[in-house]
Amino acid sequence: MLIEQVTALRDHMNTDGVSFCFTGFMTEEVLSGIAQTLKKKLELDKVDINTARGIFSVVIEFSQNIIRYSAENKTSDSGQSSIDLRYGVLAIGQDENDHFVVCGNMIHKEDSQRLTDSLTHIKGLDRKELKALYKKTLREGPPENSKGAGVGFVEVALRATKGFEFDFQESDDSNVFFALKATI
Amino acid sequence: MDNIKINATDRHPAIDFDYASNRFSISGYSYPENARDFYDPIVDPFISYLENLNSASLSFHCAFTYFHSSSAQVLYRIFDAMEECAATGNTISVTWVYEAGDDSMQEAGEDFAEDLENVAIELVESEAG
Repeated sequence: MLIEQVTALRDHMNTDGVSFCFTGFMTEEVLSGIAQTLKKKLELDKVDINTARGIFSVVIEFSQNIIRYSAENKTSDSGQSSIDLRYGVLAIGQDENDHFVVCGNMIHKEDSQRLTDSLTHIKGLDRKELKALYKKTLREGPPENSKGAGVGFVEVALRATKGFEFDFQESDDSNVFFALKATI
Repeated sequence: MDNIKINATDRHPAIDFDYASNRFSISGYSYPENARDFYDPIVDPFISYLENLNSASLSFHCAFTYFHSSSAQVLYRIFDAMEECAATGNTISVTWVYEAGDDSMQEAGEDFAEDLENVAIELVESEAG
């Protein structure tokens, strides 16, 4: 049974062109490991420098997004150390000639409309407009509820030379599953 | 001001801020876990220093392989402060080095250059690899 389960998982990913997949608690340590391994893999595959940097950049932004915003988390704040582990999915793959990076995580239901509006707006911008928005957001500082610079998705849109798509699925009363795919 | 020298890691760049000779340099990858935690102790004093500079000459060398969006925000702070400093009688020259073929880092340099009127910026292509 074990071998069927594991090969089924592997075959499923192969069919979808996925060469790397992580599902679980995403941390900065996990991100460091993924980034170092990805760098070597892109070099090994002799991926064109711009494609390679694009994939690398999207992976960093997606991973930090899970670490900062996934609503599915386990926390403890006992004594000297506080722990906050955030659950998410990250996959890297290739179909035909295109590379893709996918991420998914739970978000709070009340954030889904804001996220939809923001991503729909970004999706409608051309490269020049994206760059203007990028600069403006960086200069004005992060939005109040942001833990980063607040331009992660703009960065992704600039790097995803072949576009990006996103989707939501209601999970329970308070959470929605959010998925994002960037093609490079 | 004390000079600052920090070796590069996988996630943050090498920093060489030589206040004694007014030569400053950042190079490598930049995607620290928390950009403000890493950069604020380096950049805040640098910006205060620029604000108090008179008729000085300063050179700033940037050679990034990659920086993430939170690092980009820090770079805008640095460039805006240098532009202001150069507008008030100081001479600032920036060298922006990017790897040959890396359109993204070349464009980043061009984007910074676009907003600079008083800082002299030179974009330099380095060999691939």
